[in-house]
Amino acid sequence: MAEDTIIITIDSELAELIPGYLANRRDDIRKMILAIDSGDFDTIRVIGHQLKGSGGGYGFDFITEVGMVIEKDAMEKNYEEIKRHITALSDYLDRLETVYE
Amino acid sequence: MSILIVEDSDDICLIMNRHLTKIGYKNILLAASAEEAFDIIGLDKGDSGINKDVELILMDIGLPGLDGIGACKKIKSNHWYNDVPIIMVTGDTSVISLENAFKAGAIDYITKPVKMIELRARVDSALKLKNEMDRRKAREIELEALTRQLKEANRILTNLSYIDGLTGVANRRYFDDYSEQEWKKAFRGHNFISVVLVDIDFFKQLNDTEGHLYGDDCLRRVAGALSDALRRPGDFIARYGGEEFVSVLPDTTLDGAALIGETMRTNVNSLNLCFAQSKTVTVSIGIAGMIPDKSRTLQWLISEADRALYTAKKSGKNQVKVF
Repeated sequence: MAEDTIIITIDSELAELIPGYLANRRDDIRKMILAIDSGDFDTIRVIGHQLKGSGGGYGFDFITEVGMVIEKDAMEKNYEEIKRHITALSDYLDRLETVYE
Repeated sequence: MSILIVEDSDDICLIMNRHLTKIGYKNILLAASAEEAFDIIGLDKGDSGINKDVELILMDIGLPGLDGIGACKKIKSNHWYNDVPIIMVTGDTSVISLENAFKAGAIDYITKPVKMIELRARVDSALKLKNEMDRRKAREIELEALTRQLKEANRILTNLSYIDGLTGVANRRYFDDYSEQEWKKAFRGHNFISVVLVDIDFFKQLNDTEGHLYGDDCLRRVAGALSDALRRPGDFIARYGGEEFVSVLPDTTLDGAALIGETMRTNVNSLNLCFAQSKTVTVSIGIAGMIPDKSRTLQWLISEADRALYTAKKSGKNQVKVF
């Protein structure tokens, strides 16, 4: 196991939902990168809002936290901060390993 | 029983659906917007199109288009859905947002991200409350129906208790209650009141020669003939006892009462009820009347009518005497 791996334990009842959920977050990252290039902060705000509302429900509290700040920074059109959050989310997904119990 | 989730995020819909299914709620309906929710519950389809299967709505506040608070308000304005609980599902737990949600008719809220333990507690509690309310309402409806039935039964019983079983006209009890009221009214209004007392002539002989069945039939038909003589609404004939009948006539002078008495007598004659081979059933009638004053009672007036009746009998029967 790599040293920087993030292990999250998830309720096995949710196992079949997790791959789809995480794949959607990759999509969110792509959409946010496109939106930030075109200055579409409203799309970023909506995605941030949805990340905030969904992450913790699946067991990914970090996704909720990062969604919260993305939503806030999108409202403030804080370009640099949003880019930083997107990178942090992408890094989190790369390092993430889920364990079911 | 269904639970409707109104939520624009597929991921949140999925997780809530999964949690609810795990808890044991099988029929979950999903709507991504307020408009979709209205369509599912048949809000714009009139009473016959309303989906009465939905027992709980979980509503996201931040919906695209009409938001959750507006949707909640509209749903609650529907008569049927006024009783269906709506729980808001929101990440925005600011006082103003929650206050608006409760004002719109929501009963509770769940914070996002949705955790199964919280969802379960809120949903179970809302449905328990709804079931209890439904049970009480059903009980209230049942009680209202029973009360109506009881009132109707009492009305029938009261009527029955005032009717003479043999002749179908009012009985002595009703006459006693009613005549006393009319006496008091006449006393207060200084109005004339008359009493007409009727007795079937030779009734004992009729029973002896023709038998009691014929006697009973005779009583019924005489009662009908006497009733026919009374034209005003509210006037009635009562069986006073045995073969005697009585009527109290408010606002009726002795002349008026005499006319009614005479009509009663001729009505009975017209029945042509025969007995003892050659005799026809007739009645004798005694009438008395007065403007009530403190020196007399209704019983006194009735006894006067009885004296007039006695005179009619002594004078050869089949006649009307007025005192």
